[in-house]
Amino acid sequence: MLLHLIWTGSLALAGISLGAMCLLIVLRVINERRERRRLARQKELRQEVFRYLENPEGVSELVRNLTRHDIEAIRDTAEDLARVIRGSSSARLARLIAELGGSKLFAGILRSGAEDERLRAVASLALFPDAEGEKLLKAAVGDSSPRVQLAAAHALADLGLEVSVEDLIERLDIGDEVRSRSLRELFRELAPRRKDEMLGLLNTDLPDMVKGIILYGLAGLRDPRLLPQVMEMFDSPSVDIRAETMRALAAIGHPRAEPVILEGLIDDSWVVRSQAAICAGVIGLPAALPFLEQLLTDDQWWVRFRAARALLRLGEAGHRVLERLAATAGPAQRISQSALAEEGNAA
Amino acid sequence: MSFDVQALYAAAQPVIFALAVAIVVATAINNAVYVLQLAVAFIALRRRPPISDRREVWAQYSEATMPISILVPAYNEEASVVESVRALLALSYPNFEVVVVNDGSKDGTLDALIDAFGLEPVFRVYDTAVSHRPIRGLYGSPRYPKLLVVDKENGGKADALNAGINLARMPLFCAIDADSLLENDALLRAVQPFAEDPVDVLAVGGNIRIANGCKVRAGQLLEVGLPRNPLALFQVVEYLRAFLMARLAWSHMNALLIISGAFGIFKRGAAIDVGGYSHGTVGEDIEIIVKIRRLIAERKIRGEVRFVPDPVCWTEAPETLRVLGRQRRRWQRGSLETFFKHMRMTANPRYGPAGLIGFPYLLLSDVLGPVLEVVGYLLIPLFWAAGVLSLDFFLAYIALTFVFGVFISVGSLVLEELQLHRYPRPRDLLLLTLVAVAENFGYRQLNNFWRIFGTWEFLRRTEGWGKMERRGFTKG
Repeated sequence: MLLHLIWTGSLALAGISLGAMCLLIVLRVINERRERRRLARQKELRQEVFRYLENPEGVSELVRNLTRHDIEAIRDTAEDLARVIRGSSSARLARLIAELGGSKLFAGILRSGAEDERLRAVASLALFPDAEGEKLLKAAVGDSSPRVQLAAAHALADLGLEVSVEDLIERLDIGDEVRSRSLRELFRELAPRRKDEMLGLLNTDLPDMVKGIILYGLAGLRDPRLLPQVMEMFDSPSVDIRAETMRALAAIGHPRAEPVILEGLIDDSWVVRSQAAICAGVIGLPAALPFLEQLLTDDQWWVRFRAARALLRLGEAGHRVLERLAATAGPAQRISQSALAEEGNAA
Repeated sequence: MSFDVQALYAAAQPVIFALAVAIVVATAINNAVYVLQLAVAFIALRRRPPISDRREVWAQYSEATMPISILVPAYNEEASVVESVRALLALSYPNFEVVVVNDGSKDGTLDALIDAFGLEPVFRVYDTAVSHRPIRGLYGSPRYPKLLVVDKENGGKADALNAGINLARMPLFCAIDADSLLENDALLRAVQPFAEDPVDVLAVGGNIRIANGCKVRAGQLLEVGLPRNPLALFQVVEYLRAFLMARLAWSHMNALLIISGAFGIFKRGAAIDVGGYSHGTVGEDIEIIVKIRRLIAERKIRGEVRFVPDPVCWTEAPETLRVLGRQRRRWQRGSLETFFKHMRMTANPRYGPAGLIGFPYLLLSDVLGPVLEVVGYLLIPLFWAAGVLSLDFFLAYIALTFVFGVFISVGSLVLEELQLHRYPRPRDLLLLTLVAVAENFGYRQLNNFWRIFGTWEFLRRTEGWGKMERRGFTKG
């Protein structure tokens, strides 16, 4: 009985898979035909879009007898164009999409479309902004998919719309586990408009991960007035926050950060020491020379490498340190020699 | 001395029957695992990040990438290396460098690079974290600031990759073969797991497909096509099954033990923590992943190894029995070396799904599988002909070995067509369906014989890579 079952079961499974594949091939043939028709129609509509861009008054003619597929085809064309054109033509495209009922279409997709369609709708809303689109984007921040949420938040930030950072942190459910680099970039986009709010959030009991992202965002402003608050963050017990503080100080690039950077150069964590070395080199802190010399014998190669690079950036004084060590047998000799030799490439 | 054949036959019958049952049970277990892989791979494909529009990839991903060093070990690649490097330099990625490691080539690989890119000797500060044969020189050019060529003494692929790891300046490195073609946005797609979770993800493998029959110009894939050579055609289906089904499923279950040497991205720090690639192994791509798995478990750190199906690297498949057989024997040796070197992981809960699922499967599929399958091919028909086994038993074995194989091969093709649609013409799909059926009647068995030879070579400690003879891509 079992043996018979194995035989018939295997045959049935093989038959089912072959049947499914045949069906998929038939579907492919049908879809290809449909796609050819769609592309032909899109070509026609593209001409209409170009005509419209030359003469925007012709929109009423364009919208007559359009199907939903036509509108989607025009959207595709408009999206392609929106990425390469600016100014009045771009505004005309936005108007065209609005007059074709773009918001209604996108609202429908955001309500019931698949995740990739919702992402696409968010991208379209960012390209063709209007008041209705703004509302839809704000609602999309609460989408069930984190990807759609993040894309909507990026779109809002790109469009320069007012978004509460605190609200976003709550709605995007950012906790200790979220480490997405896309999220970090979002905070950088938000910083110019939400600087004060973000500074305020640094002093709350938010998780270190979130504070690190806020610091990263603020660093993009390169504003020396932020120094006191940023330097304060170095007192954190979290290695991530201390390393992020060093990155922020390097971005701001002001010598007033010297005491904290010198502390960073003797931090227990090699990640922080390495970032502090970069920071000392970028700002050009002469006071860091003895610390950097010390770091040339650090256990971690990245720290030694960053310290050597920092010394090169410190000009003549840094070069003298490296030349002295390169000429002396010792643990710092190899890195000093290599750093000087590598700099010779550029010379 | 009297010899009672009938008595001997009667005594041997239970043993023969037990052996036949063992073979059938092992085959059935293997098939059950395939079904599991197929189901899990389907779920994983459904859940993968929803990005298919190529226009969107840059817009959506480029902002959140991480810098990457592409390591290209090259040994006697004079004919193709310049074109490959040009294609790599043209990749769509915001921040990367290409480190070509000339592994003591005996042909003009280094000279070809120097001439084509106007290279001159340069110095570079580099780490000595992992061991490799001495470096003879470094070459660069201000015209190509992203390119560094390392000339070193010959030490094999693992050794060349180790030199690349030391020279790499980026937090991630991508190991590829010198003759592989990366799709223009492959890096952008493959690096996404790192961008989403820069702390936990330690290694990511991309999808490998067969380039034979595709149109290629200047190192860029122009048109996806199918090869005319039957061996290469079989490999198209075989790669679909291996990558789209097996690797994706194990990745989803956090039990993945291999990232192809043709296209894998690693966190540099993790590779250094495990001592880089091991010397003296032919399976360095599986071994480094197993070492990373051990690192995760033994240091009790969080870490993941993932496979992503969307980024594609195209590679040339062998088209002759001789070269293909050599490749398969080498792969078998690599799997066995890694299995026996790290066999303590087998069914060991300390190593999580890699130990509980990945290693037992390696034992079943790579260590015991080929032997049991070949023994089955020879003995089951013999036992049936001798009247020891019933016709039903024989048919059940045929069903499990051949008919079920059709289900798995065609099932992988169904996954491909449902989710990825990379083969543009319906007639390609039809041909692949026929190939998926046909590969179970001859090609698969041949593979198992090669694997038996590979096992024999492993036992005899045969070493060396053998020569991969390449015909080159079809020019577009």
